[in-house]
Amino acid sequence: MRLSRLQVKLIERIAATIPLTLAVALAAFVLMRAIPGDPVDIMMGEGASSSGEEVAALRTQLGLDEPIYRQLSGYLKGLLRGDLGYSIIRSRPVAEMIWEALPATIELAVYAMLFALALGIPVGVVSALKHNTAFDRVSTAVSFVGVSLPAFWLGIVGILVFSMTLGWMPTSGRIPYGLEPRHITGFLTLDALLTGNMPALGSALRHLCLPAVTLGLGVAAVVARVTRSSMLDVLGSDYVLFARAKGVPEPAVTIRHALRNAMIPTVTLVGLQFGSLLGGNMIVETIFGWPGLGRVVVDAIFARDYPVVQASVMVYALTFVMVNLITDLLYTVLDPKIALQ
Amino acid sequence: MACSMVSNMVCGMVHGAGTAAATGMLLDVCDLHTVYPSARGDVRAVRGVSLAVAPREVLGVVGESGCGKSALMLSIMRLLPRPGRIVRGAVRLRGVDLLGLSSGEMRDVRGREIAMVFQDPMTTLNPAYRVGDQISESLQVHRMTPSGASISPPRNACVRSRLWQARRAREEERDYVIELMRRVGIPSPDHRHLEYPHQFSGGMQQRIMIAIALACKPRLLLADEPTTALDVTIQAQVLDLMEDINREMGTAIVIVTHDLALAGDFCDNIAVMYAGQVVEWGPAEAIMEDPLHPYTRGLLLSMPRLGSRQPLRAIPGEVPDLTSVSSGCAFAPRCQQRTDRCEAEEPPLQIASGRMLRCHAVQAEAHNRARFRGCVAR
Repeated sequence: MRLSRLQVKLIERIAATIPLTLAVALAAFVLMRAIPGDPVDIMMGEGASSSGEEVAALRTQLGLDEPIYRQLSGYLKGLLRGDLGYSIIRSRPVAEMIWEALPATIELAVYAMLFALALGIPVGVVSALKHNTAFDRVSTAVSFVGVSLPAFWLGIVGILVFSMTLGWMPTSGRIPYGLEPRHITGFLTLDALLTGNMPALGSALRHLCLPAVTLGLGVAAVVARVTRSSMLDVLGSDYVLFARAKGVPEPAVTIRHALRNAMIPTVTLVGLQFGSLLGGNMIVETIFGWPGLGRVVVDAIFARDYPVVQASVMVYALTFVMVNLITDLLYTVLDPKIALQ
Repeated sequence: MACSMVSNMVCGMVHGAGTAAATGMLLDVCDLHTVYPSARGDVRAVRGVSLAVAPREVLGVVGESGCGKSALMLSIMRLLPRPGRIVRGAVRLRGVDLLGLSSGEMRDVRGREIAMVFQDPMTTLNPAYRVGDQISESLQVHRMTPSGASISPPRNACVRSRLWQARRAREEERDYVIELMRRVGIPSPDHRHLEYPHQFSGGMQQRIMIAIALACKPRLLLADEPTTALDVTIQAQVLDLMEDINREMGTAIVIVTHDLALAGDFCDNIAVMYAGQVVEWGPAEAIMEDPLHPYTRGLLLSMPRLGSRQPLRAIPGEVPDLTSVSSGCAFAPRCQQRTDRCEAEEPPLQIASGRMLRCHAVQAEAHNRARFRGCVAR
C-alpha cells in the first residue's frame, strides 16, 4: 500500500510522541521526588504522634522504601503495560481517576475556546476593518486589559457579581446531583444532547458559562489582537486590492480573500492556547469547584500522590501534542503551500 | 465645461482629427487631483492630470518612481488606499463620469469594463485558491456566462432543471477558464487550472493575472508595471501577449512603466509624468525621436544603450517633495533651460509640435520659431 505524504507525516508525528511521552514521564517522576516530603509524611501529618514503626510499615506497603531506581523501573514497566498505577491517597486506579476527570476538563476548555473564538475573531476583524477608529481603539484597549487580568480575579469577581449578587449563575460544580444525563461520552452537554435531556443540557450550559468565560476571556483578547494585526496585514496586500479590482463585493473580499489568509496565525495561536487552557485551568477549576483534571492534579500535588501527578502530567503533554498535530493538519486546509511540502 | 474643452483639444491633438470628439474616447481623464493626507501635510500624488485613451489604443504612462503613475491608475479605478482621495477632476469611461457612480455601480465597472493587472504576480494572486477558481471568480461576481451574457436565473424552473442548469453552467465556466488559460499561453491548462499560484513560475503567474483580467472581456486594461518583477526574456513574452490581446480582442491598454524604451516599442502614445503631472504626451514615435520636454530628454539620455561607451547622463537633483510643490514648474530646480518664469508660474499643458507639452521654455522657443517662419513667409 502506498501512503500519501500526509499519511506518512501523520505516522511520523504520532511515532514521535512515544519518546516524548517517556521523557515527560521521567521528568515528572524525578521532579515529584525532588519535592521535600512524601505521601506518608503528608498522611501522618506534621509532628505525627504515630510511631516510627507505623510510618516504616506504611512506606514498605507503598513501596517507598525501595531505592529510587527500583521505583523508577517499576513505574516504567507499569507504563509499558499500560498500567498507570494506583493512587496512594485514594487507593483507586489512576487511569480510572483520569478517565473520569478528563472529559470535564476538555469540555470546559472547548467551551472556553469557542467563547474566545466567537468573541475574538469578529472583534479582531472589525477592528482591522475600522482601523484607527474609536471602535478599534476601544477594542485594543479592552483586549489589553483582558490579557492582563488574571483568571483567579476574574473568576472571583464573576462569582460575586453573577452568582452571589444577581443570582443568574450557579457558583460551582458541573451539574446538580441527580440531573446528570446518561453517561455516554462524559461530556455533559454532548450526552444531554444525545439523550435528548434538555433540562440537563440547560443546567450544564449554565454551569459552564462563568468558568468558560473566565478561562476564555484572556484567550479572546489574544485572539482579537492577533486576528486584528494579521487581518491588517492581509487587507493591505496586493491580492486584496486585486480582488477589489476584479469587482468582488466588499463582504466577499473580507471573508473569502482576506479572512482565510489572516486565519493562519490565529490557528497557530489557538493550538498553543488550547494546550495552555487545558493546563492552566487548574486555578479556574479550583475556584469553580469543577471536577476536572486540574483539581485532581492540585489535590495530588498537595498529597504528594506520585502516581496521579505523574500520569496527569503525561496526559497533559499528550493532549498538547495532539492539539498541535490537529493545528498542523488545519494548516494544510488553510494554506495549500504547506499541504505539498 | 472648461475641463471637457481642454480634453477635447488634447484628444484632438494627440489622436488626430478623426477621433477628436471627446465622446469617441474610451477613457477620458480630466484635470484629476489626488492627495494622500499625511502627518507632514497632503501628499499631492496626482496634480491635474488630463489624459485620454481611444478604443484599441495602447498608451504608455512613463515616469520615475513616486511620480504618481500608480496613484493615477488607482484613482481611475477608485481604489486609492485610504486615506488617499480624489480631490477634483473627472474620469469618464465612454462619457460616463466614474467619480459620480455609486460604489455598487463602480464595482460593476471594475473587472467588467476596466480591468487591472499589477506589478508583482506572486503577491497579487491569492495564495489560498486554485488559479482556475480565481479566473472564474471574475465571471461569477459579474454574473456573466462565458459567452458574455448576464445570467438571469429562470423564475419557474423546477429544482432538478435548475440543478442541471447550474451544472451545465459550471462546466461551461470550466471550459472557458481552460480556453482562457490556453489563450494566454499556459501549457496543459486542462489540469493546471486546478493548481495553486505557488506552483507556477513568475511569468506564468503574470499570464494568469492577465487571464483573470481578461475573463470578462473588458474594454480597457490598466497594467501597472506588469513586467517589472519578471526577467527580461519573460518580459518580452508577456508584452507580446498583451500586444496580441490588444490586436485580437481590441482591448485598449494603459501600461504604466518606468522604462521609456519599452513604452516606445510597445505603445501608440506615450504620456510622460513628473511630480504628479503629465509633462509631455503624444505619439510614441514623435516622443522617442524628438523629445521636447527637458525631463523627457533627460530620461532618454539616462537610458543605457548597447554599444555606447559614453557614461550615462543622469538627471541632476531629486524628485520634489509632493507635500510642498512650489508654485512654478515642478521640474524647474533640475532643469538646465529654466528661466525666471519657470520658477514663478506653473506652465499649462499646451499643444506644441504635434503633442501636448507642459514647458515654458520649449513653448517660447516654438513660438519664436513660428514667428520667425511667419516673418520669412511675409
